[in-house]
Amino acid sequence: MEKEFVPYELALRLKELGFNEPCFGRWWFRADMHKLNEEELEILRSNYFELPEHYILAPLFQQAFRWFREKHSLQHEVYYLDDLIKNGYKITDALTNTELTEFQYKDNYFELRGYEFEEAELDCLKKLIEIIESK
Amino acid sequence: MEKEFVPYELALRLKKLGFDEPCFSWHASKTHGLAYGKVIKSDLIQDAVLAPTFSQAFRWFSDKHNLHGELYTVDMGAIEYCFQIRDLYSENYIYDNFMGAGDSYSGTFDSFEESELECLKKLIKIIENKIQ
Repeated sequence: MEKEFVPYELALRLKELGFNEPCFGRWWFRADMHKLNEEELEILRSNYFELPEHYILAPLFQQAFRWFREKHSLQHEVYYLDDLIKNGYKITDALTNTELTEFQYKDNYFELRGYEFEEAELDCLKKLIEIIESK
Repeated sequence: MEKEFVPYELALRLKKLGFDEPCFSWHASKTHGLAYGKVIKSDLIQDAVLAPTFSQAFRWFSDKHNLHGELYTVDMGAIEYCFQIRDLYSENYIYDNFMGAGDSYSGTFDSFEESELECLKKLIKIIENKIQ
């Protein structure tokens, strides 16, 4: 079930962008005196207003994508690429009907490679966050 | 939060197809709506049914039946939504509700959620037909 949830680092960036919807999980985080960061996912229905200290909400991937659709009119699409036998993604602004990104590929400088589905979702979510952060 | 979960009728059909994974919610019965909490099938009594999230259900079809449901958009002046289903063994598309020929054409959908729901119904139907 853990793979349904957005990883800690992205959950934190979503929080900073204003995500505060009820979730089915929460991330606990602590940086101790030896600078060893610890983070742990707790699967528990959680609400922004009742979060204990050191916790942030852990949205599901589908929740995060819905949030970008509803709050920012950004539509994502993970898409299969026949040529690469892998996936890519694109992001569209649904208000203006313009593509903000063309299909994105993993690029190792020598060749373009597609993503596994989950990798594409993760990278797509990062890109959505970057788009709003840069605004 | 209800919109994260597969509706009762489809959850029941998924159960009949063998869906049995830990979930965050369950339908207490056809009429009693959703209850929330970490749950597995053996926790449930009587008419209760596991309620997977949409992404859990889609992942289950990919993992168990090698069928991958994909939503996509088309530009019809405004963005509209469609879906297609790919067989992960053959890497071929076996269904496309917009680009597909003949009786697979069912037009576009106004929202991502409608398209997602119809795609899930189609995935269930494909496996139900295989089992019959």
